[in-house]
Amino acid sequence: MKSFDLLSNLKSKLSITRRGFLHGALAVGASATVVGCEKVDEDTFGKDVEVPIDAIVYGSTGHNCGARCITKAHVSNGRIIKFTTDDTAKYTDGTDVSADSENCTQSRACAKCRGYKHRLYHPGRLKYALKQTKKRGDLSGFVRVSYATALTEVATKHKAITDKYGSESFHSLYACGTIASSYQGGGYTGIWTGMNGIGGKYVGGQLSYTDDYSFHQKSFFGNRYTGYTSETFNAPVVAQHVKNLVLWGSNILSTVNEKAYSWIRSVEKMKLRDPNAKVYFIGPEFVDTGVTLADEWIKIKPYTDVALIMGMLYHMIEKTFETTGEIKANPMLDVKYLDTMVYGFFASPEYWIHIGVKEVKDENNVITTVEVKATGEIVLSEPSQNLEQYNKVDAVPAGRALASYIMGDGNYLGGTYDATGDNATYTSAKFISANPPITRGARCDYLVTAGVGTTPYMYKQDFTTPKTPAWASRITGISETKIKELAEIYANPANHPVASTWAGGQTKQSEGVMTFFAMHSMMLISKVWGETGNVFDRAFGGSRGEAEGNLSVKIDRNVPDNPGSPVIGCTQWLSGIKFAFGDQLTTTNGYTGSYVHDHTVTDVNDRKAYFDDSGVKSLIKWKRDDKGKLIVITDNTSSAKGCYEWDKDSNNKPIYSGVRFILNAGGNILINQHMNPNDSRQVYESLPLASESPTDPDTLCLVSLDNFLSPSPRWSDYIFPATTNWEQEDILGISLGNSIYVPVVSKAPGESKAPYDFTNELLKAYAKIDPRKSGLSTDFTGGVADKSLEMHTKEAFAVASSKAGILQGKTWDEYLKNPFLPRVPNDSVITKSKSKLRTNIDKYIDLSNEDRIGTPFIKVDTSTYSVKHIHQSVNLVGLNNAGYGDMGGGEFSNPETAPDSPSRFTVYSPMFVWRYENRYSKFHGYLATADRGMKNEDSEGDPLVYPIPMYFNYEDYFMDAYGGVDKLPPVNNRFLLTTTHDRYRVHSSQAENPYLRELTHRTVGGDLYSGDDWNEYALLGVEPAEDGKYAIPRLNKAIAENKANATYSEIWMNDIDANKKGIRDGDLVEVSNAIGKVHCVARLSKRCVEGFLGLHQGCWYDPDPDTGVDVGGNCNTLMASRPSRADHGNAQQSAMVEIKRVVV
Amino acid sequence: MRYAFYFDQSRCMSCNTCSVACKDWHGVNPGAVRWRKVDSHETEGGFFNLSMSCNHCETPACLYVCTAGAIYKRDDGIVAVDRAICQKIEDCKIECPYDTPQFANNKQEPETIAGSFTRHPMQKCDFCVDRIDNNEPPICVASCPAYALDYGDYAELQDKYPDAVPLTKDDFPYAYKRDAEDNTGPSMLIKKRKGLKIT
Repeated sequence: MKSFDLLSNLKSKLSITRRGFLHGALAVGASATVVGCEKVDEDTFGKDVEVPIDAIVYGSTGHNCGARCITKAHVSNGRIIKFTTDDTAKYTDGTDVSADSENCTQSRACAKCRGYKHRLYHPGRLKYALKQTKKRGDLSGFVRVSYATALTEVATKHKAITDKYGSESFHSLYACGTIASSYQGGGYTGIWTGMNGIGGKYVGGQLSYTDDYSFHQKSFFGNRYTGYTSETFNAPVVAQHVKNLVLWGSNILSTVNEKAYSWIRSVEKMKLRDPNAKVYFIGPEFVDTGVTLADEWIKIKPYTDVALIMGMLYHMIEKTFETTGEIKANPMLDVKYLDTMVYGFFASPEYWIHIGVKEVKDENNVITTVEVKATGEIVLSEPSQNLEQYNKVDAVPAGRALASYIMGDGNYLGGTYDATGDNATYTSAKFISANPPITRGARCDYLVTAGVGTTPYMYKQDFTTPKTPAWASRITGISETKIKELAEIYANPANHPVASTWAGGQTKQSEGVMTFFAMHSMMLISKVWGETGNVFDRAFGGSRGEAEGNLSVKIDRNVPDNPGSPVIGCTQWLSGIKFAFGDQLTTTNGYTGSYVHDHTVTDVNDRKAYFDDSGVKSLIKWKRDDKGKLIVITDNTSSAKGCYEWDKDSNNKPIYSGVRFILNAGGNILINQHMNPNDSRQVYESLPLASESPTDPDTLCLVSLDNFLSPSPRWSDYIFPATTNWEQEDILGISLGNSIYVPVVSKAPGESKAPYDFTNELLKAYAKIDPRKSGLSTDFTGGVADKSLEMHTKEAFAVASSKAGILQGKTWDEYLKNPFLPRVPNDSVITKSKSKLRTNIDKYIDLSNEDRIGTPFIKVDTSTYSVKHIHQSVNLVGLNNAGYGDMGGGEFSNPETAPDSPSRFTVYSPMFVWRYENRYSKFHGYLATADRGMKNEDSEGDPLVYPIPMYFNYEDYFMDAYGGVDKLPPVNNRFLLTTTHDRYRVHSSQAENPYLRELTHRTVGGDLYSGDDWNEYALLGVEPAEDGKYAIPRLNKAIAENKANATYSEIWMNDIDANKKGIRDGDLVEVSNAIGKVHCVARLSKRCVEGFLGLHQGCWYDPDPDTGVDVGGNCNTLMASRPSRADHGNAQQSAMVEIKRVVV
Repeated sequence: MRYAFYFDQSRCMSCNTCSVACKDWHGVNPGAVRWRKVDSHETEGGFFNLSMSCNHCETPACLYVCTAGAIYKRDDGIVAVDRAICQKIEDCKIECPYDTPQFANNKQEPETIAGSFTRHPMQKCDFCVDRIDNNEPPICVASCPAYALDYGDYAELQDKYPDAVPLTKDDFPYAYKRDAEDNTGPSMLIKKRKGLKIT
């Protein structure tokens, strides 16, 4: 690589000089069609590519980064030599760009895009199509094949598999290495993946997934179970209104560059407005967001947020009730509101609310049902007349209410409901007449089948323990005083508005769903909702304002519909592979299951879906009608009535589709970014290769499209080299502005192709083996064969430039010179207000019976949040509401058994349990009735999922995941490890980039930034030697050769802990548990709480061939397969490990 | 005229955009040499980020000890090095209170400057003279996503940022080598981050 060293003759540059190419750029422009372009190397596949010689070109990145910012590539002699970023000085309305505004939208890129040169021109870039010929993962087994041959074999294999096992056996894997547009994207908005992936539809359909690895638990929990919804969160709200900003582990300044300045500036303004305003950071690792913004760091042990919340709630209850249950003089909580509007915090009897009935007209507009307005009247026994006008609310048993769990022994909850006032017909005051009489709570009585003294589950032992601040302090490490102080911040209206942020890390923990359940509950109970600034969200800021000049290209296509198919949770595809090949994953074939401790090889052989099951039991071959839709069994005599009809083999058995063909378009989930790569690897290595016979339908086939021979392509059957941004035409939506067209500005190596072109060529290959697919490639490119994205864009631009608007009258070349238009900030003043629901609930509680007349009943409706009349049918209509986030499982064979909505805020949710137990049941007709849905049962027969948020001790998860209490790391060497994102990788993208790698990797004994393995890492993609073998057998060549300059990923560790362990800063350490082992270099820091280790995510899995130790430092090597509770997502922020110094 | 940097410690998020943009702009290859360094310092009272390059001192210690005469100060205050005549004596590195002068190895700097005395002469921040002479801010300033960096004449920066204080060893001990004297007049103003409560 040529070094462009400006210092070579500094003196001569001290006069006013500037490099020629800058002048040239202004003169020549950035068009890809200017004179002087050159063609790429002869061996490049497909159409000719032209790139500018000297130019400055606007662009961005296509990775699944938290933001998309502006970079400008400086091109000299056809090669990008450096980058700059946005320096827009004026907005489109003529006002000056000013950093005084918290909405400033100048789009400045971060280090990842500034360092892109060393990614583009990395010597390890893949150049050719490769096929594995020995064993998956064996680098000596890859041979170069022609791109066309590889395409034909892949298409042939795909056809063979899907012909036999149905389209549901093809899974386009979640991938986000190229994600930003639906034109070139390989991600969930892209060509190949997810619900909108069109590639799979073209080739006959695919098994889809919902949501993603980032926010699975948050998306699953949604907003419908509790009814909590955040108010608007943006930078001006923080600047103008928020009094306390509580960051629950937030990492936004590192992960969402677009919003970073908004946060910084709005917090500055918040403090200028109110010197007492504060920013709290609660977390085990004091990440950069905290270092920059926080006034106070509240140190907490990982995975214990729910315990903290329970301790806070205990304090609120204690400050509200006397021990006898009477309400104190100045109660901390609003008991009247809780009694009536928050279902399940306290016990309540079964009751019916009058909800009226809606007017119904027939097709002739004749009224068939006359409207009856809701009165909201509460009755405690089933009405004998007009039952359809009432909504039944199930009882909350006294020992099961959330308050009963919090108080444990029932103290403080013995009071009866308040019957004073004259509104007893419409509010909880009615409960006073319940027979038998009811109190607000009682001793917690959730069952412990094995007995409290016997069960090893710590959470069960604690059912009747009062969740006092002292209890919470022991678990969280936070002082009792601080827990009480936090409770008062939330419960005292004088401290409102309180803005709370959740973090991506919380949604990847074993009990992440519980964190959301508990946070919602706490904010509903303390009334931190419904007023400007009372928010709970992940991020704010960055984009308040409108963008002009968006370039939207519509490619007319006739994409076939996806045939009816289950939709699995995005993390369960590996379980789908095991379901498909259960009979082959035997110890004889090399699958020992030794990295999974809660699912045996026999279970795999018996096709018992792991953790029962998040959609995997649905992966059999389905019958479909002429239109490809699934068929519901209507036969009244069938025990499977209401379920979908399935295909059968000659023995009348279901055909196990599972997952048999994976296209991994620009992702690293296949092995690196999924939990437990050791297990994935064993699965892949145990199963026969796809390439042995492309026509064989019974072999697994893994196909990757990538820039490097990173871990996922390494364990694939076929690899296609891919372009990345700057090497492919694309339209990228810039976070702080419009969407821009980015031309090709740099030649991609070898035969690399963009996803758009890869898809076009694959569809052509399909047409050769399957006449039914002919014409699809032409349809894909918009009805004209091989029509490029550039041509589509130019046509769209021609339309835009001929119409009124900011692009009117512009030429294409003018557009390319500066296509970016930042949003014009909206700095308007935000008036503080209450939401309509809050206003009405506040009013409703105090209405007298007399005032009630004509006042509609208030229903907490999570979809509209309005005061409205409701009808009972709403309950069923709402059953499939996306706010429940079933991850594709919201297909029930028995919806009539679903519990009614209490029409209240809900902190005790029978629906939460019912949905768990019935999820996917419509696909389970082939199973015995008892095996339908998902089994809500732990190893002792107690539930996995309860109707209330609970603190599940992290030890319990690790005990299950690691195979028993005795498999946990020794008590004297027990650390909790999380894997936050740092800002130097996008997940695992750019793990190879030396400009970024040196910021997170160190030599053994070296200081920070001592990394020096430039051009010695990730060279696997370099061409094989004459004999076809690769000269470099390891991802990290320097480690493999035991060189002094070999670098390892840092692992962050508290200095006091390190001292006890005899570990010094810079030492090589081995971190291990029952799942795997990694090597890292210790970085000692007071920014970690004691007992905690931080191994940032995204390093590439690089197992030592002799010891199996992952010297690449991939955090997922330590992550168990066991999914998270309730949502079956990824618990990849949860590990318990031990650590020791490695003597070198 | 005295060119200086301004750094807002309360805004810096230690994202290293400035340091990477600097390496990219100046063609400094991957490796230990980086003209601008960003660190998060752990001291009593909290954690303090610092982004710092050469401070282009009023009385540069490096200049006075350079027996090769390779270091000089421009009229606008910028301290520059003529790499061609540097003899790699490294006294500059020893004397600089901030450990600013740096020397690459063969790997990071595989190409030798034509006609230079030594293969890896001293290098450091040149205040992006190629850019400021063209009325463009230094690359680090232009890159900062947190708007935590600025540049300009020292006195004018003082007026512009009345909350800023000069870089001194008393206020920012972590910016200095342990035994360094604080007598070179760094052209660097900093807005301090307030302390942190840890509970």
